[in-house]
Amino acid sequence: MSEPRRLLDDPSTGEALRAALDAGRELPDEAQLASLAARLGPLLGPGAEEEPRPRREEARRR
Amino acid sequence: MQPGASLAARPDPRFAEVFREHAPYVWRVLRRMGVREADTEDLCQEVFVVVHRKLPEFEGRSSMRTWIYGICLRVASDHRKRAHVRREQPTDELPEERRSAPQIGELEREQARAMLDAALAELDEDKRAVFVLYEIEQLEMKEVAEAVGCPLQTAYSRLHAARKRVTEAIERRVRGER
Repeated sequence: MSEPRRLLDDPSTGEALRAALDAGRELPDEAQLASLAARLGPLLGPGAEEEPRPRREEARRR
Repeated sequence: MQPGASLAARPDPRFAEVFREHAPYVWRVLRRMGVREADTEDLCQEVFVVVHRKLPEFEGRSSMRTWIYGICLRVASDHRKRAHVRREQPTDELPEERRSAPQIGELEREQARAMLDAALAELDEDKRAVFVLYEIEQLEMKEVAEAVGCPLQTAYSRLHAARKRVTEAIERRVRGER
């Protein structure tokens, strides 16, 4: 079975739905991720200072 | 979960890498699964504590992201079932403090996101998970089925039903109906 075309990739998707889906893909900001990393500090160890990073394709999209 | 709770363990270099790679998406999927903003950090912590505990058992039968999304869905589901949890009531209205933000583009995006969350709230948990993983997280359908733990054909059926419901819900809101 072939993958259905995603709504964001489908030209027939309505403008409002497209805007809603696009907004729903927004990632947390650096402060939120830093706060989470601080909580997990004991598990993360000395490398914890490095920021979480968006995947390559996500970084392009943003 | 309190900050620092359940963290009496030695650092694992592999875990730090997993956290850096996946934390933003864990956060996002929890939000789209209906976790309130105020609870998201707690739940993210819970997800990564589980990931840390189970990482030595991860055998790579599924991709790491599929495995982590599966943990996210279970944590979000357990959270929702807890009797004392106040569920977020999705609304198209923005919180008071947000309304004062002067940046129009940002405001429009927040309104669009609020509309999406209100539409997602009309779905049952199973359909919501499939829709979020496919349309927002952009997993392949095979990965979606693995993460939610259902047959592939069932995942397709849920996606079809969820799309119809979400599309109708958004259209209703655009017309000014609820």
